[in-house]
Amino acid sequence: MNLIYLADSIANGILLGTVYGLFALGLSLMFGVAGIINFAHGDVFMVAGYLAVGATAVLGSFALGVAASVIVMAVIGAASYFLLFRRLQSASTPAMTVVATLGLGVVLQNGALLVLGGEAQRIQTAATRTTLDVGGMFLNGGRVVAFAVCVVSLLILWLFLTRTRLGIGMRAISQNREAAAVYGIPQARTTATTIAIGFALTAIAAGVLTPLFGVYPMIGLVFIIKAFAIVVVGGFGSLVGTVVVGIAVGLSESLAGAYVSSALQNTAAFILLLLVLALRPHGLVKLAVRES
Amino acid sequence: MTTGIRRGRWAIAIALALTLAACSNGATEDTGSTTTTAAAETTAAGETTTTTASTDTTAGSGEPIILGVSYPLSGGAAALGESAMRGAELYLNAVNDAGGIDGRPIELLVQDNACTPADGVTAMSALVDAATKPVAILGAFCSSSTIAALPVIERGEIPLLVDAAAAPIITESGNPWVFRWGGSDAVFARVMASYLVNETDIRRVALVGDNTDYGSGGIEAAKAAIANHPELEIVSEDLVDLNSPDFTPMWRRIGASEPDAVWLHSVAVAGTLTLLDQYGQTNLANIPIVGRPNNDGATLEIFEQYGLNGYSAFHYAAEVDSTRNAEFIAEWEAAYGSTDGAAIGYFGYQGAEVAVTALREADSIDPEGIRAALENMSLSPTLLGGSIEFNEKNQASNHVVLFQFNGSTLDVVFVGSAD
Repeated sequence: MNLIYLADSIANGILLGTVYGLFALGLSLMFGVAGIINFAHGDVFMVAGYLAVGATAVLGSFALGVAASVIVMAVIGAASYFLLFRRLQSASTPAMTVVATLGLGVVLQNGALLVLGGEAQRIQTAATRTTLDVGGMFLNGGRVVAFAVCVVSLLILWLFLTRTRLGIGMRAISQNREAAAVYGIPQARTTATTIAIGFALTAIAAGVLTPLFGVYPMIGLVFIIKAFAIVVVGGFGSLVGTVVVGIAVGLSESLAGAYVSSALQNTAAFILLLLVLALRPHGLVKLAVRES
Repeated sequence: MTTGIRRGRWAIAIALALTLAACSNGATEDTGSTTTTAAAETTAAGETTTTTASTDTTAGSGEPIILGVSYPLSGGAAALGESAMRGAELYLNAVNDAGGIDGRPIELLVQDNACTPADGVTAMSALVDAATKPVAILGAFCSSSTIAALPVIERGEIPLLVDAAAAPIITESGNPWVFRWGGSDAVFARVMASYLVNETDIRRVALVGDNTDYGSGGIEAAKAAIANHPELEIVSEDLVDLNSPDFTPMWRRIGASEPDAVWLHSVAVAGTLTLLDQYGQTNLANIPIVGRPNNDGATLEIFEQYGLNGYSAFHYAAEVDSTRNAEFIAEWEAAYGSTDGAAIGYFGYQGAEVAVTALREADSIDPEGIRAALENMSLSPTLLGGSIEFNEKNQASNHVVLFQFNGSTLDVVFVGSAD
């Protein structure tokens, strides 16, 4: 095994980990602002993936197809707040949220199975069939595109959260909902926007991953456990923490699979996360304001 | 820690425990689904659906003969189970249209096993404990759901006609009620290893299997077959979890060991398509895939996309040149409008023929009579032009199809017995 092989594995881990981070961020934002733990988040990913496949087929363009699925999922996210999540916010116990969102996930999975069948759907793109030779490392074009899209999305999100009134309002609510209300920050509109953004981020992740992994009714289950682990360790509502941990997960998987065995690949990420939690029980990014 | 965050972390812990309990462990093919609603004929495990194979009123009006079916009709292998069902129905429709068995129509009692061990047991239990017991059962298609259900079959004392499930243990277990007319992985591996040595330059092989009974059993069979050929060398061995999203680290590691071929043994579910997709994405396409890569449409699409090539040992290929096979393909196309799914429909069709042949030859149409008929059966010619006769372990004489693929082009290079 040589340095090029190591660099190749690290690069592959960072590429995929960034997408993991983006996917987990949607979940993190929903909890941070709306206080909702959405166990159907993986199935939202699945729905977005199918939308991307369908929109790409109809529009004849992968970029337009993903863009269309992002817009549609954002609208669905906002609507879901008023139809479901707002009611769950007032739930007396977290178990009600668990049951409701788990149930939603089961409905989505089996609905997809019934309507679309069990066979995986794929988007074929020129980038996925391309291998880039970068200093001896062979990087799949599809993964490079996914990474680039995620980086741009994260940058836009950061600018939105730090430079816009609505973004600042979202951060205020995540820190102290009551105080934000006192200051006149519109709760319902801000929360609905947060969920819409969360769904949109998930749709971006699904869109760029579908050419790499395909989409089938149960694919959400593959990613959701990782997403929860990333959010718990990265810190609820923390953009930086979530992305950093996402990348760490991608790196640990890539290196474990490359140097040890495929059996350890999935386990390595969770071993890492458990170690982090053992050292920092509040997660990587402590929410200082909540603690005070 | 604030109350909100404490509640949140408890909620996550509870839900993760629930989710992990529903998800696969390392030895199952469970894709995580616990409900089954894939098609009109599917049932939740434990419920039964009775399907009359033909609605044609020319079918015999006598008391129906119940034939049980345990197929994966939901989950990752649902597409396979649905095709196999269509094959069984195609054959039985014709039988019923011709008057059935002595004027008695054949009805199917269908259970969905979702290609998982747990649902396999539930489905088989529902069949053997049904109010009107089937006289024989077709299935269970997937090796892990078949293996898990073997004790149920022994308890129920109803012949199980095993089709696609190729794990050697199924007949090696010595269950007197299990009859496998389909091939065993032990034979497929012997044929493949011999072919590689005699007909190709492939010598260094990387073994990759899924972590199910099918995959692990197939890899063990491959190792046993390769051991008989000192020219062949195993450079690596991997059992993968098909629920993983990313297989590229494994493919990169395998690529670095410079094998001449990858010997693949993986269930035809969505995760395997991802496995192959990423194989193509990691620029390994010049390394042939051998062993048992599947030949369904979705797999061939990936082969075509990345220009993959190699060899596959399989139960059946639509390209096999035999009179009966040509008739089957024509019949399928007439019934369903295209040849899509016929390669899997073969399992239901041929399995139904084995069952009907046993019914016709049995002294009595009951499980014991069917079993005796199976033990003495000589069904010839089969769709592959061979014959089905069961040996002392209730394993039928094995015709193996070896085909070479280049992109989506399949060429049959060998059809015959492993002996």
